[in-house]
Amino acid sequence: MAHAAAGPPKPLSGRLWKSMRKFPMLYLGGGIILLLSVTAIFAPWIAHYPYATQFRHGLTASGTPLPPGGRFVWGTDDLGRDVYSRVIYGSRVSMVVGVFSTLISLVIGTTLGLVSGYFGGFPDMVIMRLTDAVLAFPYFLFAMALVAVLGPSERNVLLAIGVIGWGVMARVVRGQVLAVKEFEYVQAEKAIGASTFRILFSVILPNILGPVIVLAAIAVGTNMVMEAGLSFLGIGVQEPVPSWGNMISAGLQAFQYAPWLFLIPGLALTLAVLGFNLFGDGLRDILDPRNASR
Amino acid sequence: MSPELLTVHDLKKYFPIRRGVLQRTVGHVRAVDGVGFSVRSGETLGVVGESGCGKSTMGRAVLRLVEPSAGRIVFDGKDVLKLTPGEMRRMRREMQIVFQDPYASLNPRYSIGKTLMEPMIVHKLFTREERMKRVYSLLEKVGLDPDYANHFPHEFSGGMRQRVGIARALALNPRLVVLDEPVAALDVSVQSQVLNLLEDLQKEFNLTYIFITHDLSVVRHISNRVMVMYLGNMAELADVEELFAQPRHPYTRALLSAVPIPDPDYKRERIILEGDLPSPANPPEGCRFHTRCPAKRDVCAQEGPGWREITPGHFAACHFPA
Repeated sequence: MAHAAAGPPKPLSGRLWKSMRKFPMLYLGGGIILLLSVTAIFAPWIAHYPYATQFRHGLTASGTPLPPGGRFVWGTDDLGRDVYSRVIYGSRVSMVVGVFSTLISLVIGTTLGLVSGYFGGFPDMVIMRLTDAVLAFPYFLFAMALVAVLGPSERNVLLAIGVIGWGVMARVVRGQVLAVKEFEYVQAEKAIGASTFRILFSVILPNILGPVIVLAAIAVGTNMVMEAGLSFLGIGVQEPVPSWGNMISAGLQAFQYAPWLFLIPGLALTLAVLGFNLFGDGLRDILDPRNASR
Repeated sequence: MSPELLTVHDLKKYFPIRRGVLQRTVGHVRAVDGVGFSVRSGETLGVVGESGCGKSTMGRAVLRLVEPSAGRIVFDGKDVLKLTPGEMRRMRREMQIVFQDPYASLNPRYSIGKTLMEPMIVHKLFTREERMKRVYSLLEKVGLDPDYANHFPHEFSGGMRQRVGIARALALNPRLVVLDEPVAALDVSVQSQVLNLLEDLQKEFNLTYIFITHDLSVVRHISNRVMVMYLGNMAELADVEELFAQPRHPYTRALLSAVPIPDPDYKRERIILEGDLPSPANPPEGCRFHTRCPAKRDVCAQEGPGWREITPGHFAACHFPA
């Protein structure tokens, strides 16, 4: 037995350290994601002030925003609101939209990919042409058009991004299914009398999940940028609710005398996207069968 | 003589060949092209033939793992091809399969216990405790330690995995088991262990086997009757002793002459077949075998020989049986 030859188990801390040295990107990305999650969930406790409060002392005598430091650690914006608190609350929008739009894409893309790959023939043709059609649209313009129709709100941004983002996932899932369904253990499941539903979701799905998870992790980052882009253009999350996108948009108008207004949310967004991309790349390294030392 | 458990009439499986942007069907691979036979309860029917002759496809078509293009399959008086999907799934309790490749036939994400429990879960049989008990007894029956239930397939050797595959096939108490080259992927020493296990299980559970193989010594060891296939057709069918003693079809004779005999002084005539196996997408006119047959005459290229009973119980598809 393979595990019998592995020798006595090493202490957990030692193994963790070794694994961190082997996959630094995975742990760095995972750390950033953890930080973001904690920030988003506990935003009311981490933020210093409510995000919409316009402070009487939040502006200079001449009416310009306060620079970072002092009572407002990352300064104030041109309405006298605390930038630190707004960036903290902004993480909620990014995380919720990024994660849930990806989940929507994941459910649609995986289901269509499974059906397409497993049944082949006519359903496959219809689904793949539909996928081509969705992928042929410029992703961002399509999202803009959808939000314009649905109306600008956090929920609609989330739906729009999720509903159009499944194309690549459907293709990846289909390709994986084509490979896995030829294995005899899938035939064996059919031979014992399992339903098609069970074969698809309880046998094939767990065996193709690796690449799909990698794709999803990277998609969360991409979708965060989409949300920020839509909010930047004013058709996403609306004031006074802070999103990193609408903060950058507002800050850009004041960048000559208050550059921190767009720099800080911009850096937050960069860090978040970097986190998810590193995590996705790290997962890919682990799941890569050519990586012999896993 | 025991009653017939399975009867197959004129079974065909054609795979379409699609080409071009519109995926039009430009032809068919005739993997199985008119096979008919019957299997009696408790016997072992050996099916032999070279690679690509359609024997595996035939075995899977009988279980409807690939949907037959035409034909009739009667199992225990029921017409299998007429069953609804729901009825078919219930029918699968009666007819099981053991696959060739023990490295591909076990789900890598299921523990051995889960793999063996899956058939019982699918058919909603027994309680949880009873299932566990049955898993342990199945493992014991196939000669594995019941403790292996918690282990995963990658921890096992090919022979052990094949035992798990056999245990899975037995989990539902089937009557018919299709054995699709169950020992071809195993070492010779392990082969004989698995063959003996299969024989013991057959006796214990009164199983009926369709044993698909390309190994003539294996088929001789385990079968009651043997069917020889060539290019999707049947060439010859007879009792095992009869077939090995007096092969009628020239193809069977050529096959048997290729079996090595462990005696360096023994001299015999080897029949060497010339040419390659023709493509099943475009099989020869007349007798399928005439392009390679050492005994061919003019009529063989024009007319198919038909399936004839040469002596009682001994069938062959040849114009000029030996």
